[in-house]
Amino acid sequence: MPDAPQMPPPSGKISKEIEALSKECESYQPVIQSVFDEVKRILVGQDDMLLKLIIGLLCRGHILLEGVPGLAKTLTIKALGTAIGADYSRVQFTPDLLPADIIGTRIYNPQTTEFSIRLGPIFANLVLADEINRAPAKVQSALLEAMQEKQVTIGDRAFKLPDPFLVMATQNPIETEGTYPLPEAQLDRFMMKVKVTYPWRNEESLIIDRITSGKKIELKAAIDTPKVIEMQRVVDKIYVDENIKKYVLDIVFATRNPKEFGLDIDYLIEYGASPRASIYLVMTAKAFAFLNGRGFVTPDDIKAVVMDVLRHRILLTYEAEAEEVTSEDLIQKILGTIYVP
Amino acid sequence: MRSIRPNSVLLLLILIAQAIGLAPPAHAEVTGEASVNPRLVRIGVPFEIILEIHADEEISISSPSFPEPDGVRLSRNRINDHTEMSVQGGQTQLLYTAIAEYQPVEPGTYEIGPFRIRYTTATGHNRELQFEPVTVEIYGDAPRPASTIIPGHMPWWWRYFVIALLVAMLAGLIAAWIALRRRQPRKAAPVPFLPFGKSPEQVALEEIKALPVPDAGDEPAVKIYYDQIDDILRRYITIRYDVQTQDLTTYEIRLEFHSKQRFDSRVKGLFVLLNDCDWVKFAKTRPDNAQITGFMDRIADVLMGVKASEIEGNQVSSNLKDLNES
Repeated sequence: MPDAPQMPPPSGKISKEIEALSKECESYQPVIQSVFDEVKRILVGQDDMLLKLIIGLLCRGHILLEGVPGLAKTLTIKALGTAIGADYSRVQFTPDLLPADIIGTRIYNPQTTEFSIRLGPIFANLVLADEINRAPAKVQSALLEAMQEKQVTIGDRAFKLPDPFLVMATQNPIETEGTYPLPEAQLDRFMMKVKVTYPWRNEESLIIDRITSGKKIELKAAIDTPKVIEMQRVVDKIYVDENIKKYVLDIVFATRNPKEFGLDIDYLIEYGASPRASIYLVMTAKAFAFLNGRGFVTPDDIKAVVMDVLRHRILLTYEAEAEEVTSEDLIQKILGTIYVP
Repeated sequence: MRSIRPNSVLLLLILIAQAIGLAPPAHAEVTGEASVNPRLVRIGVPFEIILEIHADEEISISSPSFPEPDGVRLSRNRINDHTEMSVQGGQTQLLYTAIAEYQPVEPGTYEIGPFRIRYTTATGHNRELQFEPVTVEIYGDAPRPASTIIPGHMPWWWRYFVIALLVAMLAGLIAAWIALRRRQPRKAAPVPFLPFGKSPEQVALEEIKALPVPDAGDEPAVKIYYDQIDDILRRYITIRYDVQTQDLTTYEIRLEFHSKQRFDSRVKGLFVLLNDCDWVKFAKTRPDNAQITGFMDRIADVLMGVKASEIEGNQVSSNLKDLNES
């Protein structure tokens, strides 16, 4: 469960609507905890990645993971899939991959002289698109379009993708030769870009013990997919005050017009964050509040997700690259300037 | 043009041809051309005047006369006997060269010539050949005029080098200008103003008391009221504890106090107030009239409690000290 700030109850009366909503959120705490516990039976560390995956699941968004190989990305999504009783599929992106390899295709049957449709691996609740930047643009586009539309057209028939549907794409930051970097417009479709880091020393020691012991850990479903959909609906109801909306808009607009906010960083930003950033900031903050058993969003929730939502949406200038300034540095600077409501 | 070395067989063939009547015209055809190398020369560096004589038969050349105008001095001259033999249009051509070496003495442009040489043909006739004058330009130690630098004396790439150099200098100037423009000092965060002779608690309380107390039924006004109180309390924390609060959430301010090990029971009271403000600001909590007036009393209690403890402990932040001293 996220290590998030707890907000003590006020001295006065709480709004009935918020009270009811918060109680509803609290009632799902054991459910979420059981999913966490089940995944953590096999996964050591990587709590942040797991948290962001669950946020993505609750917001119906997709996650882009950036990290070197061997950081348990596949294991995490597989374990999460099992823990929520969902289908799981993995696609290794390669330069010779075709869109049909992902979405499916029509196959001719000579015995019946008819075409039959074979659905691709995208028809699963959780899809791991491994090393998405190794496939050409047409394949990336096919996947990202399906992510956006939540449906796929094969031949003359449209197929709805299952619900819940979460794509976790990975890309390796160190091997960029022979890759097809995702264009900014495609990156924007990902709700969050999460940076996966190496485990701590004690965590890695535990990983060695678990892997080398030869014991097979069988995971079981802690909940089912209808429960996930139920939680998604509760997240939608989380209250977002005008003050919070203003704070979100200030942050996003500061990436576009830094000067208006007294920031001298406009020469480092080629393009600021798109409106999707505002939408996803609010959505993910709602999910974060839900995970904390709160029926309303606070600035702490925004701060908890802002880095992952904005880091791939700020296009840096050549000068920023020359000065080795990252989008994270700029986000930090913006957060240090914008007044918290 | 193909050149071959003269040989006796060829000469013999020519003589036979002349003997049987297939010979060329009775008198030899001789032409000449004068040239100077180099045309532009610095004082002290020698230059040559070359006289080329083309003849269709062997001739004997006497020493030519090389004039010596003011500004140049003749060093030496020499004659090369038919150094080269060629065949042009079926005719044999012999090339003789007379070379004179000059020393430049005075800067200026000099016309040297015309040149005359005397030669004797194979049949024993004496004749004279005249060459057109040549011009040489001599310069001193002063730099050469730009127009004379350009042609023929610089490598082919020099123009591109100069253009690239100018472009690089221009780009450097633009980059320096941009860098200077962006390195302007940033505005410092405004420090809350503290009137002379008043404690931060008194100032905060006076500001809060100056706010119009809303009616509980007017929900937007209640929200604004708590928002303003929250701002005043944050300013108060900045002055009293030297903690910048503008970009921090209530939880982060609390962490700041914990990291500074200043989170005691009185400070905790401040956070209860901020927490109440947050509930009104973000969670639709709408206090009734009694709670609103009671909130004012709680603020006074907390602030006066903090003030008393600060006076006892004489713990005034450096920020406050600076302000009071000024």
